[in-house]
Amino acid sequence: MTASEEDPVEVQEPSAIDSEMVPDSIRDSLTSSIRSAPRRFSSWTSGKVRSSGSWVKGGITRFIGFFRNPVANSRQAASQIRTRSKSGWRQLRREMDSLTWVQLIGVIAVFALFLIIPLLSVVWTSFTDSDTGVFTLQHFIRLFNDSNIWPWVYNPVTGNTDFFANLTPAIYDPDLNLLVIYGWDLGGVLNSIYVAILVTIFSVILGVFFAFIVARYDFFGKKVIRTLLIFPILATPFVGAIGIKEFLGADGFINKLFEPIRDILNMVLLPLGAPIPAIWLRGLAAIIFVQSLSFFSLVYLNAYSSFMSIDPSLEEQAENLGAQGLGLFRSVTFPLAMPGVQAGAILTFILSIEDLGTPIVFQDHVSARNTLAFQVFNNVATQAGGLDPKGPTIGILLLVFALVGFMAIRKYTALRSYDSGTKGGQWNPRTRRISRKATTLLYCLLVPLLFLALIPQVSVIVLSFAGTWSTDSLLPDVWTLDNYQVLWAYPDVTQSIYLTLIYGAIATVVIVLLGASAAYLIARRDIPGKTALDLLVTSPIALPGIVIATGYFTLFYNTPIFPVGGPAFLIIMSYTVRKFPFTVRAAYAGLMSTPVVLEEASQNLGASRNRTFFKITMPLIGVSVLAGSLLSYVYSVSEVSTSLILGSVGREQAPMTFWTAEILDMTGQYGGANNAACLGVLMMALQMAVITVTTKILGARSSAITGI
Amino acid sequence: MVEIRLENLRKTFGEVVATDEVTMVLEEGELSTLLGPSGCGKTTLLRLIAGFYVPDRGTIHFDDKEVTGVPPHKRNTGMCFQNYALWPHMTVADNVSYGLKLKRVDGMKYTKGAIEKRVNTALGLVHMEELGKRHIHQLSGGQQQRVALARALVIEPGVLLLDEPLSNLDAKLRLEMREEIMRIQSELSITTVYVTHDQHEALSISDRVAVMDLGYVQQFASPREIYSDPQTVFVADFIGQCTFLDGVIQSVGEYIDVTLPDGQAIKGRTTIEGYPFEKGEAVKCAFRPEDLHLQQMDPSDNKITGKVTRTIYIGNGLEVYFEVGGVSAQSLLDPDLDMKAGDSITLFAPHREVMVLPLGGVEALRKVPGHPMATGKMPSMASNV
Ligand SMILES: Nc1ncnc2c1ncn2[C@@H]1O[C@H](COP(=O)(O)OP(=O)(O)O)[C@@H](O)[C@H]1O
Ligand SMILES: [Mg+2]
Repeated sequence: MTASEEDPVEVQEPSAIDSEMVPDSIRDSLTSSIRSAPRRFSSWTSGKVRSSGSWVKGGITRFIGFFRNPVANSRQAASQIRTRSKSGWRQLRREMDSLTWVQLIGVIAVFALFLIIPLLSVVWTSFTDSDTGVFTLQHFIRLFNDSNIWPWVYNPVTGNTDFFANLTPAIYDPDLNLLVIYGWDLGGVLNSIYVAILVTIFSVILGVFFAFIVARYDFFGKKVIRTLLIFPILATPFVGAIGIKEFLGADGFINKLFEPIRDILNMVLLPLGAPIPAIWLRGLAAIIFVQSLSFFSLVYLNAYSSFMSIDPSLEEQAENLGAQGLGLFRSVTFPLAMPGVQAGAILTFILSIEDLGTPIVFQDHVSARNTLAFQVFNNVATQAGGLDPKGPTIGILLLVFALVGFMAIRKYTALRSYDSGTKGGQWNPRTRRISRKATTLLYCLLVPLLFLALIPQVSVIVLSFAGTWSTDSLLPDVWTLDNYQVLWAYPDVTQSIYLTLIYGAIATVVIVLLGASAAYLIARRDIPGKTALDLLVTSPIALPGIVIATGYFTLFYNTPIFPVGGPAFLIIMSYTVRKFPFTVRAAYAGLMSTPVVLEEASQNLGASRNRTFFKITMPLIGVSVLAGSLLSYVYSVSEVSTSLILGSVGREQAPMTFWTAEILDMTGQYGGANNAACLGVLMMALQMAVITVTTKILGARSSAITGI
Repeated sequence: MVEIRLENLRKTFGEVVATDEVTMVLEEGELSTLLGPSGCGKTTLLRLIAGFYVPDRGTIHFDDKEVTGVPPHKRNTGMCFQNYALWPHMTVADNVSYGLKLKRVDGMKYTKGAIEKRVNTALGLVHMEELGKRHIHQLSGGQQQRVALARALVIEPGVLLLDEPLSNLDAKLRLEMREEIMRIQSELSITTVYVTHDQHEALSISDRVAVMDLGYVQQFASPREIYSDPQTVFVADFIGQCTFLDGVIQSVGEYIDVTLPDGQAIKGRTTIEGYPFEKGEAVKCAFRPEDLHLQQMDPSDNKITGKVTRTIYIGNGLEVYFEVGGVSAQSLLDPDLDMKAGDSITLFAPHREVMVLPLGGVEALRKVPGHPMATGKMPSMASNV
């Protein structure tokens, strides 16, 4: 369009227009955009990426120093990232489309190399003869002849099938009046399954209860309760188990706490021959207890966001038709919240079955060792040189359970992934104020439950500050900070803290670079194979870390990227792959709640797709990506299963969780539960800080994202 | 200013044919409306022009330049989205200046001062000059609408595209903004395509209206022509009120003789120049309520007799519904008339007030020699004038 007199926007003469225009050099546009945009959110985003670029550089240089023998491949990978962040930023803004390609290929390459192929190699190892490479089911047959794995073992001598299970779940010691509960021991496969089922049931009951109360009722102190309920999210069962193990002992806190009550009651009951015993949870029973108290938060979060997203008019309509109370809950509310509850439940099942940390803490009882996760660990981590196919073979069993569960989750979560997009207007969720009397009643229920739910955290904290602790005292006799000396008593431990932070940070940077792009492709571009990509990048949430780590052993051990004693690079890659879904899902949710027209309006005004991505899309979803990446970071730092397995072959490069397990196992001045608890507290403090920041940034949306 | 030429456009989404066989010329500086019921393909057509979709078939020209495959950001169109699509993370001024900052003319870009000046001018144009510093969520619906308009106008687009821009506003604001859009459009005389499903809006602001149904443009003509000479049954029905009586052609001359099923004879005119009516062809006779009169003007006037079923007093007239051969017909008569259900009624309509329309909608138009529906080509210049 040219200038004309009648055109009010275009009042200048052509010569005047010329003076309004300046040559468009790239440097100018860069500097002017830097100069003109400081207060804007968009510049914040580009600044963030920029600074994380230089962060990567610095981090990489420092990180390289830790390699005893700098590894060619990882150096190459590092220099790739460095080149990209240094010279690439300019092209990045102009050439987003080509960069999208690079990142798509990047995502696929990373996932192929560090997830798919390792898993396939596990499959390969477990189905082939290690000498001849011929297909065989021998490993599975041998597995099912191992009474630690499977209770019915065929005895070729007698021709009978022997049954090796321990069906006595508890022993009572009348002298001490002590009931030791450890659960039925049916061999690894059945143990893992029934433990996971019980954990799921307990988690659902506890999680749905808390979610319903918090989502539907207003009462005095609700804010406090909600805040307290954030803590269980931090509980990696591993850390919690360290504390709980001490608390659940024969002379532990719990038994001490109830001793007075028990004594009083037993004055009556003892003559009747049925005294209430002290209870000591060991083995599988302890695992069930710990995992339930950790994983219920997953159900809680998922159920909570489901309850909050139920259109109140649906419930009101039911009430209008005469439903109320429990009937209303059963007929309308719960079914509507079901997808969320199911997703949380299935996730709990998977995580319980693959959890390695808890069995390790409770391995002093044989039944805890008879779990699939522990068996894999035992067979992989200890003999890294020549790998026994037994580990991978057990891993396959785990993988099958996990994959089935993952497919089920996809089915249920697909139902609600468009929640924010389709429901249009906002409504106020139905909360009801309850009377003072009802509040009191509620607290009578809530306080014991909350106490239970917070035992993992509280016990770890108490333990870390405990000095001498005589057996008949409820609380430690002496409180002390001395336990924390463990943090700098061993150079390896001190370094592991530093390393853990760096590993997590590098993994998170890679996750953000690839994850935002993957989410964008899935949400916005109509590319073939989109569903497969989506499946690929969200599946690690369900894939057992120990199996992935096993794959790293079968595939990479004794190669340049996994030299003997140098697992650092693979630890980072395992964090990257395993914690990828948090960022992708957050970014995806952000994109889903951002109307596409906002991007189209930008294109319409002359912005290319790339520019639109950086100027419009990224600022709008930046907060979501940030939140997701913080979660990825938190869960990277507290990752247990791959850390323990990979760390065991390179102790100088092992992360914090590995050393927590080591210290727990050590004897001497700086060893044992109290010192391990210090590392646990450090971990929880770190997680708490990050979660607090996330919740601050995201407000109410955080629950929708932290909940898988 | 830009002339838009659409030739034989088709766009499908999987099985759904969103729009098909669209051939039309939108002239320089003209305000054209796409009018039709929801789902008829208006938005699809607009987005084809904006470049958000690539057509399955057909071409789009801006002047002599083909833009069919050109990406949206290179088309220099200014679009107002139905929900405004203002960026919540930017202020009003940032929203409006966004396009200017990107605009390059011969490799030159606007200076900061020039951008500021133009943003102010554009905001002034929509009476928003005071509110540049505001954030989007601090604006009312009408104000957001204005910002969206300013944002589209400030880049001096060759084409202005408006997708139901007023549908979210209340009635009063809608009238105001309608005036505003007409004022700005005629001041700047930008070729404008305006999408709406509201026939009053379409008739009152447009130079020409394209009535759409089922993805087809049924008729593209001035509002007057659309109302007085609808070319399909759908157009006659969609614009204003209309009564349709089935009939069969007796003879074709200056007027067309039609026999109704109950034996009444009706004479009417055709609205489609060049349509080859044939004796014995089933057609519809259409007439507007205001074209039926109680008095006979001319002895040859059509005479229609029926039984009154219902009357509605609407102040400036009396709507009389009556039954003719099992069909409900509508007339608008003198408000003082005393008439009630059950009365029998005889009304008169001059020959030129009765429209004889072929059945079959756009299919029928294919029989008209030279019609774009028949050729898939631009109408010749002669029929365009
Ligand atoms: N992106 C799309 N995907 C699938 N179908 C679509 C899409 N956009 C429009 N349609 C379909 O095409 C038809 C025309 O839609 P649209 O152009 O939006 O109609 P209008 O704007 O006139 O209401 C409708 O049947 C609609 O369902
Ligand atoms: Mg539409």
